[in-house]
Amino acid sequence: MSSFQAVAGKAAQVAGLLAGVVYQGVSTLFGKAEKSSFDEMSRRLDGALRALRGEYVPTSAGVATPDKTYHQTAEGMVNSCASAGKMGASTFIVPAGVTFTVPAGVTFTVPAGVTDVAAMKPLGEEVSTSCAVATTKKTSRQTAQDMVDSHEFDSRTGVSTLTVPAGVTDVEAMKPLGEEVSTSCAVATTREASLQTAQDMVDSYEFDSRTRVSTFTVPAGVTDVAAMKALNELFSVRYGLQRGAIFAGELTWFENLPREFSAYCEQRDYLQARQIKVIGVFKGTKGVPLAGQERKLQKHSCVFSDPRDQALAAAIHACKHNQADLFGGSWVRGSVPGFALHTDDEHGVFVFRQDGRAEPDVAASGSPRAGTKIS
Amino acid sequence: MQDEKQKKEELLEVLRAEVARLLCADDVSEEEKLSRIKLAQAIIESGEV
Repeated sequence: MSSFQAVAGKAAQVAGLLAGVVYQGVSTLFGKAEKSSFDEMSRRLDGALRALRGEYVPTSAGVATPDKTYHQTAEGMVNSCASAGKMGASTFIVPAGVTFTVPAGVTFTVPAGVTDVAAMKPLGEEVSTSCAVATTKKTSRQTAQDMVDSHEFDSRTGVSTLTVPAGVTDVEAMKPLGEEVSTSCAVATTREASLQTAQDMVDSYEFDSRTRVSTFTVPAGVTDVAAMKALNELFSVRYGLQRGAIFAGELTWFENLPREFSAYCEQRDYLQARQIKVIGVFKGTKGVPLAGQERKLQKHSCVFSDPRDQALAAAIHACKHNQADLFGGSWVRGSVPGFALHTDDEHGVFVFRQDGRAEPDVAASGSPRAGTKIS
Repeated sequence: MQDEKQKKEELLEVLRAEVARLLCADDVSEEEKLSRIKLAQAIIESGEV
């Protein structure tokens, strides 16, 4: 029996597939041999022999050739494929040195990018289809799970940290969070982002006990009412209260201010971060008539504060200083006539509407005119 | 020309013998055998060594 017959016989025993592969490989070599020189054939044969002996260690450049990449990469990924159980996730390894769209040397769990045609094609066509089934839905779910797994929440600061995988847009990230994993995660992400915004404002807050000036920054992209809601959330979480720092029933009034009282409220550019300075209770204004308060403010190059700034300052002050009342129990007037703010333990900051009633004994909140330094 | 064809036949016989040796090896798993043969095939086809 020739060695070739032995090969065929043994191959049939090992696996039907093997024989086909061997014959194909040999016949391919025959075909190539007809056209290639002896030296070229010898060179290729040398590499093949080393592969058969298990001595062939592919370099990254070697692995990167189209034919081998196509076969070996797909095979390697399938061989490494294991079900992670949770969420039906599949885990597999992309060999080092692979040059097509999947990054070299990356070990990952069906991340964004795996659905790339270049990666799917060899999986689907050349090897097993069992892992190629790991398509968009798994990717989507796994992406969500990866984000949830990466999520850390600091209960002290209220800071949420999570990683959105490369190549995943915000909307793509939200979709599986909302639809496929748990809606509580999607909600939590929004809520925690809100808490982070509030914490940023609290961190930026400075209160000068001598001048009584409160200074803080509202981040870019955050409207006044969004900032109030965020602060309410933080206040409620921080002190375990049902209420926020600002009475929730007043938020609509604050929201409508720029439209209904445009003559008294500045137009905001919410795309810009804005630093705000407020003197919650301007010294010497309590019980003074409106005209007298105005003169006092002018004398110090100040104007009545925008009520939104008053409320924000009071809310941040309460968050930072253990529910302390920036207004010190006073009613304080802002730039909108007929309205004053007040804080109590039941509501937080709320609004007094004069509506023909006698105004309480109010003080004034003041803000420096642009470019004014308060001494 | 005849001489070169003869040499090529000899090379092929070496290859066949090596494949036979691999398939008969008891200390190599079936998966590893298949993997090596595929790799050899890829090298032959692509010429990348």
